[in-house]
Amino acid sequence: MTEPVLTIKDLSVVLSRDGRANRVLDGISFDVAPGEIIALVGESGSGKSTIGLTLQGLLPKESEPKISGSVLLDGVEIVGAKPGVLRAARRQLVRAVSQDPMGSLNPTMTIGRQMRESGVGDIVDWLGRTGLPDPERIADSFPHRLSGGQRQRVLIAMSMMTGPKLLIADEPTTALDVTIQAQILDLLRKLAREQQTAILFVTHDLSVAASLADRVLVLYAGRVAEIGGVRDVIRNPAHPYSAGLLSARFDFTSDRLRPLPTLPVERSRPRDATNACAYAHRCPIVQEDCTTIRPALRTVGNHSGAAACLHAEQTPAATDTSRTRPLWPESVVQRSAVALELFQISKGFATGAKNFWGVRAPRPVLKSVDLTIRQGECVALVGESGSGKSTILRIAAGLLKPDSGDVSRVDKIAPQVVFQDAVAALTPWLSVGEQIGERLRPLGLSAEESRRRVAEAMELVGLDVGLMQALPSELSGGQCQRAVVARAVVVPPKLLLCDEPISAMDVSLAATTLNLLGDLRRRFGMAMLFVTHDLAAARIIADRIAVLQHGELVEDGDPDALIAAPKAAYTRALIAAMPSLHTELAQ
Amino acid sequence: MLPYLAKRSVSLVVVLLAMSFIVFCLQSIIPADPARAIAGPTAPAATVEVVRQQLGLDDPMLVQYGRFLSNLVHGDLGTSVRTRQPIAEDVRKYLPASAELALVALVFGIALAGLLALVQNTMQNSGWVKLAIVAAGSTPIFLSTLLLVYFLWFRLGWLPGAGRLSIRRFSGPTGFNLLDGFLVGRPEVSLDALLHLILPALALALPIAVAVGRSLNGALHDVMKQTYIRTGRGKGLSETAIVLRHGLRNAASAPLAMIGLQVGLLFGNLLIVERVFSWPGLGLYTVQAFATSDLPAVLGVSLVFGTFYILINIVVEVSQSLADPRIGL
Amino acid sequence: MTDIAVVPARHRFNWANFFRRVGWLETVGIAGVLLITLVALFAPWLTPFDPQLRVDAAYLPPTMAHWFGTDEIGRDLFSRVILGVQYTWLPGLGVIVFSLVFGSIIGLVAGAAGGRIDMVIQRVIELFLVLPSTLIALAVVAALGPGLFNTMIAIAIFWWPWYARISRDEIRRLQTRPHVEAARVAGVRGPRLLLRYLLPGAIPSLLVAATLDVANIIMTMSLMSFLGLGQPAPAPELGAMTSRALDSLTVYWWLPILPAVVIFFMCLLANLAGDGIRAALRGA
Repeated sequence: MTEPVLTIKDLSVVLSRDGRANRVLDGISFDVAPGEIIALVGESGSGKSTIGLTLQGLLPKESEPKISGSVLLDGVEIVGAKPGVLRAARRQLVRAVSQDPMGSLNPTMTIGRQMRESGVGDIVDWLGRTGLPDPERIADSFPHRLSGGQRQRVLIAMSMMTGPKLLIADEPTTALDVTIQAQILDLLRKLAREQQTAILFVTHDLSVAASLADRVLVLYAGRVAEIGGVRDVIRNPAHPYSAGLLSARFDFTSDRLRPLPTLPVERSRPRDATNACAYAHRCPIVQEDCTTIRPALRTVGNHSGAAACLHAEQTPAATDTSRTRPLWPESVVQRSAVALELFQISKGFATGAKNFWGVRAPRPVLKSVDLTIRQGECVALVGESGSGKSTILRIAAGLLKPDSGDVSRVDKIAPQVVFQDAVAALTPWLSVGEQIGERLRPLGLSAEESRRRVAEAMELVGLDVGLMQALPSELSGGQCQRAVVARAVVVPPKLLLCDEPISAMDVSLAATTLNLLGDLRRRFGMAMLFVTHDLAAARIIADRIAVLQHGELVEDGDPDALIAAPKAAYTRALIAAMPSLHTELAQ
Repeated sequence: MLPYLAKRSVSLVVVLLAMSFIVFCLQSIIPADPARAIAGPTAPAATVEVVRQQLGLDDPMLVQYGRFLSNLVHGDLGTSVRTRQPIAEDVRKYLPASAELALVALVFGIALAGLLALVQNTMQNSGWVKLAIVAAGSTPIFLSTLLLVYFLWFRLGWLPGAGRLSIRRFSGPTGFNLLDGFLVGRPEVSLDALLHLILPALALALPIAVAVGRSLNGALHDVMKQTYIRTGRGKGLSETAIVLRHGLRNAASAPLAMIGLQVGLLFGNLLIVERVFSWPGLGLYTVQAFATSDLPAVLGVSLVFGTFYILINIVVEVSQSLADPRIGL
Repeated sequence: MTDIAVVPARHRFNWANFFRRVGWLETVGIAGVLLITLVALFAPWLTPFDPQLRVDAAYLPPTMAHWFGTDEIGRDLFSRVILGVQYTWLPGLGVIVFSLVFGSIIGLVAGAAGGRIDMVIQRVIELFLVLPSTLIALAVVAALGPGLFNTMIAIAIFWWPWYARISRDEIRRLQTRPHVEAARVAGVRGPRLLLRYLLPGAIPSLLVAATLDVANIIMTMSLMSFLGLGQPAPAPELGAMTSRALDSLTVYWWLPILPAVVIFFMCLLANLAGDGIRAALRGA
């Protein structure tokens, strides 16, 4: 192997928040070869983004970072380097593309000027190389004229035009639509090969990692859990955490007749894991020594890489749990009874160009949409951002009035909504119990009786009843989501509307949530409208998938049939763009 | 641009109408009877009645307001009780002195605001800097004025403490002594005018500097947390380049609005500063009008200042949209 | 998998945390504001001399007996200033409370009603805000005749629209927030939605604005008093005391300066307290 472009040795980072020190990275070591693409995979809070910021010397000052260990970037020591050295390194050696293309460009400076600042190079040529149409015009525009995908291309061009040795790509595609995501990944791969730029690709999604990377590094609680060739790790994970991550993720081939496998929920993280395996309290194969010895990275039998597990040989294969779980009960769709009927719904918003008098023209979002959901049926509405899928949900919920068309619901109980951002969907100053009990008020129950009903609902969704008096800020994201679901089902409605409830979640939490919703809808015979951009999730949860493009339904049918033989070109594009472990591995 | 101008002029007219209406209402609630005042205290009731009819005070309110408006449009603000001159003429006479002072104060204030934001930004966590700035912002205008006069004029004698010029009788073509000195070929007059301007302008500039400086610092503080600032740092730019190129323009909107707001307060402070410095401007004129219950003069000057205030805020709005391409006009 | 059981951290108020978040300067400000309020409330019992009577020779400089000296007719300046604090502070608070309550209600109505009502109220608020308020307030007092009560009315007329706007904007902002939509979906309507789900969200911004405005009000009121628009002569208003003694600045400096310094301290403490309350509420 040639001289590595990046060598990290025993890197630890301590960041303070609200006066409390927090070890975010804990003894990380790895190398990156020139031109190599390495994926950093981990859940939120695993410290994967901190690595990138440390390499750039851009950890926020207010968190008083304390860094130890060594980071050698093309022969330059980054840890403890003077600001001038770090600046030079950022200018020439390492560049970054962030998660948030919308916020990463200065809104008051033209694209051309921002690129000029980046370094020498033919701006227009580089914009063209990233596949942007009409690069001259784009160079002269301000960022707000560009879409998210276009901005991410600009940011990639801006980074790559200086020929850096290393590019840090921190979830560069999470904010983008699936079809755009695939293009951006292709672009990154192409440019990196051309310029021999190594990429540190930070992601929470193993299949994205599989589609791009040479090697994968699995992070857990600031430590390296496992590192190895991407195929090796995916086929034969050596660390129980990697195995769990792999089995919890779902795609087009997952078994949809039973609940998804999930990782054990983290109950309480041990205070001090200095002399223990950080994963011990969640590990399915935990043994006594796991809580007394900190496992070092070691080569394992499973593959050529290394894992930090004392009992790696006993790590279960990722796929063998599927047969042991019970099947879902038979579906209870009532063909004759309708839960929701949308007839020729259309809706526009005044967001178009301003006319002479400064009044915005209406932009049509929905164009005559017909959609029927039968009682007990779950319909997934799939589409990309701007397709109008959330507008349909809001119209069904009665939060918006359509411009024309009819909405009919047969149920006396208003449909309930599970929102995308569960934390934001709870009122910060009211207790969780009061908010869940809100729907019991019209029933005129006694205080004791309402309390009992609230407790029942909380138990049903797996929320600790002791949290009834807690404020939402005392709950984790997953607990908030459960509280929102509890509020929706405390008086079970005939129709439950879910607005991208899993889009911001880590894989395992997403699987848990899908299982919960699947269980509840069968238990209460609820019909469900499940709005998502994720075809795989739609296939798991729904009895029927409807595909929405530019405010029109382009296709509608049984999930497996639709994915196996999509009729509309748009559906085909969506399916093709979905990264899948199995197709990647088959190559 | 064109629809913006159209819309803005409509709202300008509405605001001016509202302001004139308020002034008109205030005029008509004055307890004193203008007809009696003109006819004289001993005139018989019939004479007062005749005068009242001549003045049109018997007409319905709306007709009277219409007449008031048409007078305004023709530049007639009424007659001052104190000077017995048309108020419009008094305004023309005293306005340049106030305008010169206000403009210099605004320039001082904005320059100091920049300096202040810089100091605050570099000494982020210093409690003393913070205390000093809050203290400066808590100083009543008459206290800062008195302290400036007491120390820099009375005690140290560095700067003149009253009036616009040391020489009597000087009048130039524009009424702005700073300019007129040069225009008539007597630069020493301009210098003298500048020395006289420093103290009152400083007193007026202080509140502007504090308010605008704090607003700029706060906006800059927020902007520096944005992702595009990290992008800039990621390019290896120096901190100075980041603040100047990426920070300032994005942070401009709030401090610009603050300048607009401060101009309104500046007009109020002019009354006090001109009173203390015996500055022969509209402020002193208004203070004297207060003292002699010369209401028409007070209301006339309010109308003039108010119009300026509204125009200046339009300028502020236009400059906000120039700073940020996302704010369309 | 982010399901970490969290120990409820509520109701654990501790002073160390409070100081760290609020800061010592601001804590001093809050304490000072409380002190001023006490002084203002009990002023008549706190004056060492009768503020309206000749108690010593005229124009005495500050001494141990007369901390602030005596004025042109031999009244004790310190006693007059103490009473002056009452004359400035309590009306100032009165104007704030009135404007806050009135403005918040108007804003709440506009924000909650939406549509035509909102549009009309918004136009009215905007109109008030673009008018040069200090000047027109001066004109209003000039027309109504000088006096403390008229000053208060004139200032309040131009102050409530600020709170109306904050309250209206906050309500509108909250109404588009998912948690209010969620409450609506859960069937919460009418006064309960307004009082339990919307109003508490608007209160912190209003409170912060109001506390930071105390100093502005004090400043505006003393400015009017300085211009002779407050209570007539014998009343010990701080602004008027400075203004009447203006010509003796070079001879008896304490007469114009000290009352103004007291105004300065009131504003300083109020501003610091405002910053403190902002820090406390933002962090919460």
